[in-house]
Amino acid sequence: MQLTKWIIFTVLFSLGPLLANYLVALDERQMGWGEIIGRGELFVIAAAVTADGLGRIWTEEAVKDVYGTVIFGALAFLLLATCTEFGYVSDQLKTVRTISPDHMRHSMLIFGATVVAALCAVLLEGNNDLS
Amino acid sequence: MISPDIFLTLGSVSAAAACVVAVIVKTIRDSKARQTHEVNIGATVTVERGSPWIPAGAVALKEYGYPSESYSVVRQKENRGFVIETIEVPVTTEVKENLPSMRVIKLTDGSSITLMGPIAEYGGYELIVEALKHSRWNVVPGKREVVGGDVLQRVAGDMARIFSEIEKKERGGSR
Repeated sequence: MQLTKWIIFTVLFSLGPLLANYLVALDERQMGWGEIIGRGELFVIAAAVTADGLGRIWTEEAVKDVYGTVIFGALAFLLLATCTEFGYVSDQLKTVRTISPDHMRHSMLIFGATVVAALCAVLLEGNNDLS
Repeated sequence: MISPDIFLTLGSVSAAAACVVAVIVKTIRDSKARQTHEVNIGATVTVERGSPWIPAGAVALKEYGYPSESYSVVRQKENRGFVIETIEVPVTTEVKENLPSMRVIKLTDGSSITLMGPIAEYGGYELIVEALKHSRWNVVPGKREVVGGDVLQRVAGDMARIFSEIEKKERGGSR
């Protein structure tokens, strides 16, 4: 139940702006991946999801535990990665309309990794509550 | 040379994989730890072998006049050390008079330890307290001693197992 709530309210709702962008521009032009995630949007959303995960894991109980430390470290790395990548791609956007297909792929991978890692943080938070 | 993009992407995927592994390992370990909380004698009591509580229980039993030679192997692991929980859980006891062989130790964290059979008859609570005293080799003398409910559960589990084995031996010997 906790997981379902988290997936709906944090992950799916955070993707809302992309869906809105898709729906609004649908009639005007041919929509492709480049139009939806071509400005590094996934990096921004991934950073927000990571921050949520970090907030959940940042408890004394979880961090003193080796598993909590691993997940905290992973999320901290992911936050660094998303921020750095967004920094790179936003710089590119000064000269081009959309980021390169490679960067789009990276953004999808990093977003996926972020969701998995934050999901683990939610699971760990749930485990600690039980104990 | 590996580009920063590839490094960050691969690093992110690896980080997510590490999280998954951590959660899986923790879940398995937690489920094993929960099994050690079974304390009913006669029922299955599973305690990790080499648990630091087993020697503690054996020492306490010896003081109470019970044989502990059979646990000499596990007692050698005394130096393994362990971490004492620092959550304060004052303990209160409640003896159910209609069930003399059953003793419930209620913990203020909401959980309780139910002792049944010999461990209850022989004053299980006192033995657990004794076991705790003997097992706390890194406790500062004079400092107020506090333990977590899970620690007491674990001690009770180990004690129950030891009693169960003694009972089995006694039954076997009397035949």
